[in-house]
This record gives sequence, C-alpha cells and structure tokens, in this order.
Amino acid sequence: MDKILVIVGTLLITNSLSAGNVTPKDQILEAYSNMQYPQARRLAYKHSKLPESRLVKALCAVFDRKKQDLGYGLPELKNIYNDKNLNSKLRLQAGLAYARAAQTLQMREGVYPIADGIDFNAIYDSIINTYPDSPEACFAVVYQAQSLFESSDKKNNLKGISILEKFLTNYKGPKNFLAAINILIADQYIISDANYRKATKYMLNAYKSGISNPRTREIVLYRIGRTYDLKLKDKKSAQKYYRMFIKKYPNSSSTPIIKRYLREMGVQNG
Amino acid sequence: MAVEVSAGKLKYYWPVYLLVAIPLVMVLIFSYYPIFNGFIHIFYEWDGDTVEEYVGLGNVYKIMHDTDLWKSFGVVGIFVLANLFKMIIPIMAAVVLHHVINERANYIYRIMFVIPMVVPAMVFFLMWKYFYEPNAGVLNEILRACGVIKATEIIQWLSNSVLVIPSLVFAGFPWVGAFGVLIYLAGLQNIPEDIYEAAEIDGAGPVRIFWKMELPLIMTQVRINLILMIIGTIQQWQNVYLFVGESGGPNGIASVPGLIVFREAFSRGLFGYGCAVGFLLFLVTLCLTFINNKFVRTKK
Amino acid sequence: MAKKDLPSNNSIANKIGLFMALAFYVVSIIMVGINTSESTGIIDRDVETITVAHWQLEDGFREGFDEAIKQYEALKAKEGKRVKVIQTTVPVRGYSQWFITQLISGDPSDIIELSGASRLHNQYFVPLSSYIARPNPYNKGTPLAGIPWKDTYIDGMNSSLDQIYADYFGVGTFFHVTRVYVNKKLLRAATGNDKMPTTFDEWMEDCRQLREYGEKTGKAIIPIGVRGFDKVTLKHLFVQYFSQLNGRLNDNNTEFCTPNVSVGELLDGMSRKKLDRNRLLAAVDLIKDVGKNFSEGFTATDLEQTKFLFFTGNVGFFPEGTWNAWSMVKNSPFEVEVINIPVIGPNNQHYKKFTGQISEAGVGVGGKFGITKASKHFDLALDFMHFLTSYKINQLTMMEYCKWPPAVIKAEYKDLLKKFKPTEGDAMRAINPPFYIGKKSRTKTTEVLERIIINDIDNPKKYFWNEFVKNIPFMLQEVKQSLDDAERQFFNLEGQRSCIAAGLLKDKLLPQKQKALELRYSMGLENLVERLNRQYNSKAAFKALKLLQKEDADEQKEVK
Repeated sequence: MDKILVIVGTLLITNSLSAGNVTPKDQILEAYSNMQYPQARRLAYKHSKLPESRLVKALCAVFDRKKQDLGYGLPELKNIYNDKNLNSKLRLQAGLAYARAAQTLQMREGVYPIADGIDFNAIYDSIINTYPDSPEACFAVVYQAQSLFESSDKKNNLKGISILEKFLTNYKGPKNFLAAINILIADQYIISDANYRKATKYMLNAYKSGISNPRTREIVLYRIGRTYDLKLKDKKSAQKYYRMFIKKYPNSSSTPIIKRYLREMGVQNG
Repeated sequence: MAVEVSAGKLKYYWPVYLLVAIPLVMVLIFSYYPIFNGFIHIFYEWDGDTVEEYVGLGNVYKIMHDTDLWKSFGVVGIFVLANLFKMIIPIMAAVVLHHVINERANYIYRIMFVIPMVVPAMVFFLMWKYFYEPNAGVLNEILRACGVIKATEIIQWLSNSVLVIPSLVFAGFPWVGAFGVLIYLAGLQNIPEDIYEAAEIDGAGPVRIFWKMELPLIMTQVRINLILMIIGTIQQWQNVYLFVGESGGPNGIASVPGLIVFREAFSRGLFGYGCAVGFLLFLVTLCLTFINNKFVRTKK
Repeated sequence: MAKKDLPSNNSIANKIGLFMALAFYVVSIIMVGINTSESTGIIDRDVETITVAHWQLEDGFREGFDEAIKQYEALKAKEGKRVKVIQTTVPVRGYSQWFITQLISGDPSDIIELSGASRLHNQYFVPLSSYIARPNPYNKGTPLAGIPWKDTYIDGMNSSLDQIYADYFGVGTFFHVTRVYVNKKLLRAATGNDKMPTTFDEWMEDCRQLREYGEKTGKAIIPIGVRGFDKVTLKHLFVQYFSQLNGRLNDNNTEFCTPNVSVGELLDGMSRKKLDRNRLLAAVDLIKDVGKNFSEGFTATDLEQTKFLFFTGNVGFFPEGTWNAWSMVKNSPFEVEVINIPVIGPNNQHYKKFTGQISEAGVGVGGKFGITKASKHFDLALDFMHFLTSYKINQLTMMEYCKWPPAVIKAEYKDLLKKFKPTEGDAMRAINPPFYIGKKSRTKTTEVLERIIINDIDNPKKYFWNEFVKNIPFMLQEVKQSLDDAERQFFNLEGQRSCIAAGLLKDKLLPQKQKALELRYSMGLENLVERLNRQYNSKAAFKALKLLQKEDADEQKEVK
C-alpha cells in the first residue's frame, strides 16, 4: 500500500511540475510582462515574500501611470539595487529602471521634483562595470550617452561617442544589441563632425551584427549605399550596396528609387 | 418650507431621507464629481488617460494668449444676441395660440407644434446643412426658381466668411421652438379671466393688453427661458461642428468656445487645456446668469 | 381664458396612444435583450462571441466582412465549436473619440480597427510580434502556404510595426492609392473626344472646356469635385504637386542619407537659405490654378455631397482614394474612367522644376485591426484575424466585395482593380511640405490655400509665405509639444523595457516565447536610437523656425 501511495504521490508531484502549473514567481512576472499592472500588483501582494514581488511592486509604482507612486517606487528600486542579498538579475533590473526613470523624469523640468538630484550616471557606470556583457549594460551606455548628446555641445558629443566606442571594444555579450549602438555612433559622427567615413564604418558594423527591426535594417542598408554615393563619392561601393538592397528588398518603397540612382550612374538594368 | 428635524422624527422618517439621499448621491457622483475633477485638471497637462503632469497656471497662460478663443467668445456673443431676438417669435406664437377661441383648433395647433419635437436635433441640423448646400441645396434652388440669382450662380452660405455666421443664425427659421411656446402658453393660461374683462372694460386694445398685462405676467417664464437660452447658447457647439466642421468654417471664423473645447480635448488630446476653457465658459455663464437675475425683474 | 374640458371621446384616442407607447417600449426591451445576449452570451453560454469594430462604412466592406464571418462561423461549426462574430461599425467622424472612450472604459470590442496615438496601442492592445513570424494556418493549400504571416503582406507588415514601441499592435487588411475618377460622358460632351489628360496643362484645358460647356448649356458643371469639408483633396493635391517639384530634396538634402528628408532638415535649409524658396513655393501657383476649377463654396462641400454631384453628372473629375472606387463606379449612371493624377508637363511654366511622378511602390497597408488586452477571447480573436487576413478571405472581402486592393501578396488583380495597382512613376518619393508640423498648423496652411483660391490672390507665393510666417508661433507650439511628448515616451519606453525584461526573468519560458521577447528587447534599443534621431530633427526644426521668425522680424524693422 505504501509503495502505491509513493508512486501516486510521485506522479501527482511530477504532474504539478509539468507545463500545466505556473509558479507564483512566473505568474507575477508574466502579469507585469503583459503590462497588466493591477493583476501584477495583486499577485505581488499575495506572494509578498518573493523577491520578484518586491521588484514588481516597485516597478508598478513607478511605471503604472494610473496608480503612480514615485515616492515609494523610486527609493524601493534603489534599495533593491543596493541589496546584496538579492539575485543579481533582479538587482540589475531595479538599478537600470531606477536610473532611467530618474533620468527621464528629470527631463520634465520642474514636474517631478522627487527625481531631482538622483545621480543616474553613477548607476549606469556601476551597471556597465558590474555587468559588462549584459543587454542591460547596452541600454545603460546608450542612456548615459544620451545625456551627453542632449547638450548639443561638440565636446560632449565626442565624449559620448568615445564612451560608446570604448564599450563596443570591451563588450562580449549578445551581438544583436550592438546594432543600435553602432547606429547611434554613426549618427553622432554625422551630427558632430559630418564625418561620413566613420559613420559608414559604424553603419556597416550595425548591419553585420544583425539589426532586429526589419524596417531599420532596410533603412540602414539604404543609408550605407546613399552615403557612399552622395557623401563619399565612392560610386563602386555605392553600386555594391544598392544592388544588395534591391536583391534583399524587392518590394520595398525604396527599390524603384535605388534603381533610379543606378540608372543615373549609368548602370544598365538599374 | 424647511424645518429643523429632531432626532426622533429622523428615526421615524428615515426611509424618506434615504430615498432622497440616493438620487443626491448619484448627482454628487455623476454631476458634481466630474465638474470637480475637471476643475482640478485645469492645472495639469492631461491626455485624458495616463499622462497627467502638473503645469500650474500653464493652461491659464495659454488661454490668455489664445486669440482664436477670444474671437470665439465674440461669435458666441452674436449667437446670444440673435437667440435673444429669436425668443420673441415663440412668445408671439404662444399669445396668438392663447387667443384662438375654437377649442378644437387650439388643440390641433398645439399638437402641430409638439410633433416636430420628436425630430432629433442632429437630423434637424443635417437637413439645414442640405438646405445650404451651394450646388444643389434647397435654398439656392428656391432662389434660382424665384429669379433672385441666375441659374449658374451659387451663394456659398457656409464657406463664405461673411455669410457663414448669418447662415448659422438663420438656421431653424422661423424659430418657433415648441418648448418655448408651451412654456409661455402655460403661463398665459394661468392669467385669470377677470383681468381680461377688466382690461376690456378699460378699453385696452390687444397690443396694450399684451404689453401691459400678458408680458409682465409671464415674465417668470421669460426669465427662465432667458437663462436657459444663455446657458444653452454659450455651451452649444454641435450645430457649428455639423455645419462647418471641426475647423469652425472658413478661417475658423465661426468657431465657438465649445467647439474649441472639443477640438483641443478630443482631436489634439489636450484634455487639461480643454478643462481650462470649459471652466472659463462656466465662469462666463455664471456671470451672465447673475446679471440676468439682477436686472431682469419679474413683477408679481 | 378658462379652458373647458376636452371632449370625452378623446379618451379612446388616449388609450390607443398609451397602448402603442407600451407596445413599442416592450418591443424595444426585447430587442435590447436580444442584442445584449448576442454579445455577452447571457442566454446561450455555449457560444463564444467576439466583437469586431471598425469605421469602414464604404460600399461593400461590411458586406464582405459579413460573408467572411459567415464562412468563419460555418468552418468553426464543422470543427464542433459554436462561435459568433459580431460586426460593429462607427462613423468615421466620431470614431477617434469613440475609440479612446471605449479603451478607457475597460470594455472595448475584442478586435478594433486601430486609431489614435501609439501610446494607446501600447497601453490597450496585445503585442502580436510573437505571432507574425509563424505561418498563417489558413493559408494552407494556397500560394502563401508555409510563409511567415508577415511575409504574406505586400509591405512585409512594415507599416504595422509601431515605430515608437517597436511592436506590432495590429495587422492590416488593405492598402489604398489615390486616383481621379472621370465622368467619361460629360468629358466627351465637353471636349468632343475620349482622350484622358495625362499632364497638368491637359487637365486644366479639359477643365476649361467643361466650364465652357456648362455655360453654353446652362448647367452648373463643376470641373473638379473635391472633399472640401475635411480638406482632404486640397491637402493631397498640395503634397502631390509639392513632391513633383521638389522630389530631389529626398535624394540630396538629407543630413543622415535617410530615404526621406525630414521637415526639420527642410526648415533648416529654408532658414539658412540653402534651399530655393521659389521652388518650394511653386506648388502654390499650381494649386491656385487647380482651385479655379473647384465648385464655389467647395470648403463646405463634404464627400457625400460631392459624390451626389458626381452621380448626377455635374462633376467632371473627382480626385479621391480607391476606398470610394466601387461606390463611384457602381452608383454612376454613366461610364467612369479611372486615371492617375496628371503630372506637370512640358508646357507648364514650372516644368523646369519638375522632378518626376511620385512612386506608389511599397505603399503602406492600412485597415489595421488589433486585439484588445481586455478581450476575454484572445485565442478566438487571433484565429479570426488569421482567417480574415488569409490569402483567400482577404481577396474575397477586399477585391470581390469592396473592390479594394488587398494586403496580401500574389493577389490576382482583375478588371477595375488593375487600375489600382501601385505604379512606380518616375521613382520619386513623396515629401511632406515643411509648412506645417501638426494638426493645427496643417489646418491653417490648408486654409491659406483655400483663401488663395477663393479670393484669387494676385501673388499667391508671397501671400502664402507671409501667412506661413504668421503660423510659425503655432508650429513652435507643436514642436515644443512633440519634444515634451518625446520626453514622456522615453519614460514609457523604459517601462516597456522593464516589462520585456521581466518576461525574460521567468523560470519556465518556452524557447519560442524567449526568442520573441529577446527580439523585442533588442528592437526596443534600436527604437530608442531612432527616437533620439527624431528628437534631434525636432530640435533642428525648432531652431530653424525661430530663425525664420527672427528673419521676418528683421525684415519688418527694415521696412519701417
């Protein structure tokens, strides 16, 4: 009889661990992931002992505009980030959200005084140094560079570019996050210096590293060809990338235009 | 008349108070709370949903510099004056109806006044919009048939900046609003017969009877209608929207404040600014109502 | 005057009236009950019901949808499932307001045609990026079998990709182009032949002959019918001719070498006098010439009135989108020809500036329907969307019923629809004129064009420029608003990032779901970089407008 009970019990436990049963942690994260803030909050309060609950409660307090409580959310995110007893992934999310929320709230001058004085750059530095190969570090470095680029000062521009370039050199994480950083560097080289040669180099890097947004992928390939053609006067390279574009995107709205560019260059079958 | 209620009476009459409390709570929730909420949002940049940023007197500053808004008050002033004039027609109609001796005819005429009330206002405005259509509209066709304009001539009732406001004023001609007629008629029917007999004995003619007797005795109804007319005209924007669209006609010349509230809130998503303009409208209506109460006296 | 009692035989009439009122009241209650139970399944709980709401009231659309619904319900019945799909339509004039209030109320339809800002889509609609890479199951046995859902679209679902939140909140069902509908009979009577105009001057000459014909016969003939009430036709013609004259700006004037020159870049060029102002304003001359052929009072004429005038044989040409094609052709008692908008030809004074006919290739897909987060029947709603956008059904609803170009590739264009196939023209891209930024400044700019036409202004370019400068304060307000919105979006984007990251923190994550989330995560960063670029362009627009304002103020001082 005992043996039968053990077998039945094992089967029941196995069944409960199979795809049908979702843990409270996953339920909370799933609800927040779907931006179902009321449900996420409810589950987080129900299972308040879980560290994920603490994170989700704080994130809801910051990002759920209908029930925003920055007075609770921001300090709590900071505490989670500084709490060394917690899982590093949770701390990373809390830190990045805290710093970015503070940065974006400070942009709305005078509207959110609670965010004033928060040194978000220090937290970005900390994230980049502590988690250098994470996607979150990619976000952090872009956020950090943004604050420099916003000043529209050439010195700050170049400083921002060098921060991004340094990051690229050291980064060893998932490659698909590098595309955005390369595009940003390319744009900033154009803004600060009209340095199209460097801009093209970084756009090519972006394209090769794999751009996730299909529309951005198309636009970057177009830009590469057009920069060679219009700004660098390198017709041979321009033709190469124009042909690549036509082959990859035959139905694009830019394809007839690129064919015209080729015709204007004197290339047959353009 | 209100009297103090002792605790004992309250215990006895509590069902009555409960029954009164229920609609009172509904009014507080569905009428007063939205007004209060709207007032609070004057000080916010609000998109009607989640974006709510405190901007202090930012919206008030915007109102002060919004030339289109101040021009629209001029337009609504024209409409108020025009509607003031239009109040005369229902009074005249009520007086004439009141003096119809034949009971059956009187009844039939009253029914005929009431029946058009079932036509929704929007249908009414759309019909008038069709009347004003420049190429194939009824008004231009009538004028062509009467030889007032040539066969290929077109009068642009709603797209000419000079004609658009008069056209909006003229819509609804002959302006015999059944509601007003019935109100005045009820007032006239309350005048005792012996007053008419006394006036006849004194040799007063119909005009004198109207000016000296009937009009003063229905002044309460006139005053109520005047207040309702002012409030309604200041708030109304649906007819302008239907006739000339959101832009308020050629160069926005026929824009009224209510249309601006709608445009700013629902088209541009600036609900906070819409609330501010709405509150300004409320203040203007309140002032005019106060003036009306102070200066339009009713003789008892 | 005392009133005597009314005759007593009126009591019978009163009773009849009361009975009728009660009867109508009871019937109304029953109707409301039936309608409510249909949508909420109060009476029949075994039926799974979803509602689909949209604003497409054009001829054939609702009928096509009804047929698709009928086939879907029958298909599900064969599978043993009882489903009901209810179609709800809302007129376009009130749709955007209805849309917002439905979403805010928390009880919207399951599937709604998208409208309004991206922020609303992100807030209230289910992101579909996890589903678009998989094949549409209803394409089995068709030329699109096995192809990922997004690749079955003519634009690869690019126009459904929300550029702010880097996700797909809806899927499209059709696309549209603009054509000119011609009353062949009237044109033949006026010009003596069936030749359709291909150039601007030919078009103006045909219009002149139509006017003459009207004067000769005493008929009120309108050479060109327009949608004046909502200013659509005038806006479209202005963009069309502006683009035909300035198409090269897309090629040569983009700082970032992007496919489209931005309004900020154009304003910057204008403020620094790098661009030929005369050329930028040349389209105003053309609009004045075209406008001479509009009806008097065109600003008050709406679409229905213009269509009525067309059907009654009073209008020669009507530039309008293909969304009205079927109603134009079906309801006209004469033959209707469909032509492209005429281009600037060699005889035109502005021909030297002409850069080419605008390309329609890769035109965006519209009629996007999304599934609301509040929907309690997500799986059924998604299934129905798959069905609606399948090869067979998309062509059925669009091509057979409303004669609209469908969103799917490899569609078979026949008869009238052949004229709606996008043309490449001279491979020039359309440009947004730099004279307006948002709704308010666009309305004011269009009003300026209207005044130029109505008042027959002598020097239209100079007048237009002066009015543009007067509008700069509104444009500055709009740019400031857009910069403020951008700052708020940065905050919202971080919220979105944290949501995606939370999904990736789960213990049990199916490989497919993980891949989809990772894709959204990296797209989020790319999207952020694009937003930074746009912010830069907006700031450039702000600076340029300030410079233009200062330039005008300095000129005024000099004159004084």
